Amino acid sequence: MIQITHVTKEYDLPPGKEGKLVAADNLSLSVPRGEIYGLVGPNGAGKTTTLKMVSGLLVPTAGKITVNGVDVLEEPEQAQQHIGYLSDFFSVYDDLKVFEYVEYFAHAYKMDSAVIPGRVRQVVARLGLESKYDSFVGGLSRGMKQRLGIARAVVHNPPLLILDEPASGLDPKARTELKDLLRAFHQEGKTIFITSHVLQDLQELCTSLAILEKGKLLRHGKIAEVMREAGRSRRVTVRLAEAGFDLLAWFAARTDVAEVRAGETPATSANFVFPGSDLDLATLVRALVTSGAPVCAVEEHTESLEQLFSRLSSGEVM
Amino acid sequence: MTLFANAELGRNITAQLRPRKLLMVAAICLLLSVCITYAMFFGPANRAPDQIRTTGEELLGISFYVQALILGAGGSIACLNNVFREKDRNSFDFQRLTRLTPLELTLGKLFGAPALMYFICLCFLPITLVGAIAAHARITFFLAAYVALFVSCVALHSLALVFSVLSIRGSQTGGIILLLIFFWLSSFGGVYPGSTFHLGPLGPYSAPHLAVQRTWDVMSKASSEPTVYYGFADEFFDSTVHHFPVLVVVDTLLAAWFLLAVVRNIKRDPAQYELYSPGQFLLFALFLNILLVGFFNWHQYDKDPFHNKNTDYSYVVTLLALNIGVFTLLGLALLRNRERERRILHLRGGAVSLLERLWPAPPLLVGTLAAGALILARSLTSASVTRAELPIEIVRVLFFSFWLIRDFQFLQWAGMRRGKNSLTLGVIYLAVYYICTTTVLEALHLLDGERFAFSGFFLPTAVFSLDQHTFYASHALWIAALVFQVAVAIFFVTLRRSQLAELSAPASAPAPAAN
Repeated sequence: MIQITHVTKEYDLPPGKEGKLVAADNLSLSVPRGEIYGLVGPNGAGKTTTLKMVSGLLVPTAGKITVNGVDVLEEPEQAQQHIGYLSDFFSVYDDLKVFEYVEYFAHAYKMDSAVIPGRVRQVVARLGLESKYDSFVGGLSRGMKQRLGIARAVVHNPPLLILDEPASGLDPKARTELKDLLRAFHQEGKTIFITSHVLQDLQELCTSLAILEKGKLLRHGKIAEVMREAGRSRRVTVRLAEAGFDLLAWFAARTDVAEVRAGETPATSANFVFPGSDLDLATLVRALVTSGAPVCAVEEHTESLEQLFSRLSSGEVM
Repeated sequence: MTLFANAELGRNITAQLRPRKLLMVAAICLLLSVCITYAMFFGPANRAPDQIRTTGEELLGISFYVQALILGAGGSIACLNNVFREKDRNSFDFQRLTRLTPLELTLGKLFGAPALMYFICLCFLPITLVGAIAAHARITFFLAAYVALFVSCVALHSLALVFSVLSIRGSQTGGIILLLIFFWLSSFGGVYPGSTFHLGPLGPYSAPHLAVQRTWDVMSKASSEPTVYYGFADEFFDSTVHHFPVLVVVDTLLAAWFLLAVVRNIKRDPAQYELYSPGQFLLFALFLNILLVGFFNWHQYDKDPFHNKNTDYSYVVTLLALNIGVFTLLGLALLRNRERERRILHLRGGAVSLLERLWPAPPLLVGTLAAGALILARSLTSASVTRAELPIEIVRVLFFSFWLIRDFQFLQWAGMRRGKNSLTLGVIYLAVYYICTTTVLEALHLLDGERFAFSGFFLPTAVFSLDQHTFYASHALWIAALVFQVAVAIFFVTLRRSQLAELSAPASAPAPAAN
C-alpha cells in the first residue's frame, strides 16, 4: 500500500547549532495492504515528518513515495484520494455543525452527491456522534472533536488511514473505543499507518511495526518478529516442582545456553538465554527431563514494546 | 465542478450566512438605508422638485461608496484572513489533502471568504435602486458600475489571497495594512492633462463615478477638471479609450495574475512555494511594463513652463523608477529559500549548475533589460528621447539592471544564510546600507558637482540624476561604476558557493537495511 524508497528529509538545525536535522535518513519502508503498521520513536525521531511526506503534505528532500501505486509527488491529488489523514494537533471548523463538517469533506473528496447524506449519517453514527449530529462543532469535547477528525478522515472510505497520535488527549475509555474502531476498520480491509506514544496500545493493535530514531529505521517488520528480535536470543525460565536437582550445574555444563542465573527461588528455578529455535528448546527441555529434573514449567520472557524500545533507542530527543 | 457546486464555497457560505445572522445584518442595513434616504430626500434643502435628480445621484454615489468600502476593504480583509487562519489553527492541511483542485480551492476561497460582504452589498441594493430611479440613471451605467465594483474587488481579493497564502504568524497585521494601502491607492487615477498616467482609478471607487454618468462620451482633456457626467478618458499607446472597458480588462488580467500565484502554491508544501515560474515572472514583468508604458503620459510636461528637460527627471527615469517597485516585488518572489534550494540540488544529484550559482540573476537580467528596451523603444517613437540621447539612456537602463541584480544577489545570499528571518535581516541590512551611504556621500558632497560620478559606485540611484553633460564629462568613471556593480554581484555569487556546497552535500552515508 505504501512504498517509501530512499526518502531523505533534511532541515536546518535551530540557529546556533551546526549541521542539519535529518528527519528521514535514506528511509526505505514498505507497508503492505491490510496491515496496521505502527511507527514508534522518541520525540523528533521523524514520525510525523514521515507521515506528512506519505500524505503529500511535505515534500521530501530526496526519494520517492508511492501510495497504492501512485507517486505522491507526481500525482498528489490522485494519491490523496486513497488517504484518510488525521494529524496529532488539529482544529475543526467551530462555525459548522457536525453533519455540515463531515458533509463538506465528503463534497471536497468529490463523492457522488446522491450518496453523501447517507454516508455522512453512517459515519457520524459509527463514530458515536449521532446525538451531536446537529450541534455546532465548537461545543464538542476534546474526545468528540477527535472522533469528528476520524469521521472526516474516513468519510470518503479511503483504503489507507494515516493517523498521527490519534489517542492523544483521550481518556482511557475513549482510547479503548478508538482501538476497537481501528480494529473494525482493519477488519474491513483498510490499511492503517499509525504513530502513538502509548506503546502498549500499539503493541495490542499493530500487525507490523517500525522503530525510528533520528530519522533512521532501527527495526521493522511483523510485530512478532520485531518483538522476538530476529537473530537475538530468547530469555527462558525453568521451574522445578521440588528442590534437589542442581539446575545451575546442569546448564553450566551445556554449551548451547548462556547467561545462566538462579531464578526467583534459587533452589527450584533458573534463568538462561537460549539462542536456538523452538525445536532446539524442545530438545533441551527433553534432555533436562531425561536427566531427572522434575520440570513443572518452562516460560519464555518476551519484552514489552516499551522495554524493547528503551533498549534499542538511545532515548535521545532530537 | 461548477462554481456553485464548489465545496469550499459551500462551506464558507454555510458558515457565514446563517439565517439569524442574515436577518440581523439585513435589519441593520435596512435601518441605515431608510435613515439615509429620509435624510437626503426629506431634508429641508432637498425638497425642491428640481433637486430630486441631483439628490438621487448623490444617494446613488453614496450607496456605491459604501458598497465599495464594504466589498473592497472588508472583503479583502476576509480573504487575507482565510488561508492564514486555516494555517494558524492547523486545519489547512486537511483541505490540501482533499480532491479539490488548486483552482477549485482558490475560487472557493475567493468568492466564499467575502460571502458576508457580498450579502451586505445585496442589502444595499434597494437604496441604490431608489437612488438610480431618482437620478434617472441609465440601466447600462447602473450595471457597468456594478461590473466595475465586482471586477475591481475580485482583483483586490485575489491580491489578498496571495498575501494570505504567504502570511506567516505575526505578518498578518502588516498584510492588512499593505492591502488597505493598495485599496487606497487604487482610488486614484490620472484623469488630468498633467497626470503621469492617462489611466483612471482601477479600484472599487471608480463605481460611484460610473453610476452617475450620463453619456458614454469621454470627458474632454482640454478641461482642467473632470466633468462628473462624462466617462474618464484613458489613453493607451495614443488611443483614447473609455475607462470602463480598460478597468474591466486590466483588473481582470491583474486578478488572473494574482490567482495564478495562488493556484500554483495553495496546495504546495509551504517550504516549496514559488509564486511564479521564471517564464511567468518575465511575462508578468512585461505585462506590467506594457501597462506602464502604454498608459504613460508622454506629453505631461509639454505645457509645463517650469519643466527643464536638461535638469528634471526624464520620462525614462520616471518609468525606470516605477520599475524599481515592479522588480523589487517580483524579484522577492524569485528568491529561493534553503529548503527549496536543497531539494533542487538533491533532484539534480547534488550537481550545482551555473543557473543555480547565478540565481536569480538570469531572469532578472532578461526582465529588466526587456523592460528597459520597451521603455526606450516607446521613448524613441514618442520622440521624448532623441537618437543623440540614446547612449546615456542605455547606460541608465544597464545601470538599473545591474544594480537590481547586485542587490538581489546580496538578498539571495543573505536569505540563504542559516537562521531565523534571514531574508528580513537582509532587507534591513540593505536599507541601512542605503541610508548610511546616502548620508556619508551627502556629507562628502559627492551627490552633486564634479565628483558626482563617484557616487555611482555605491549608490546606483545616482544614474537617475545623470544628464548628458555630467555623463560625457566623466564617462569613464560612470562605466567603471557600472562594471563595479557587476563585480559586486559576482562577489555575492562567489559567497553563495559554500552555501550551495553545504546544501548539496549528502546528510550521511546511506543507512544499512534495518532488518
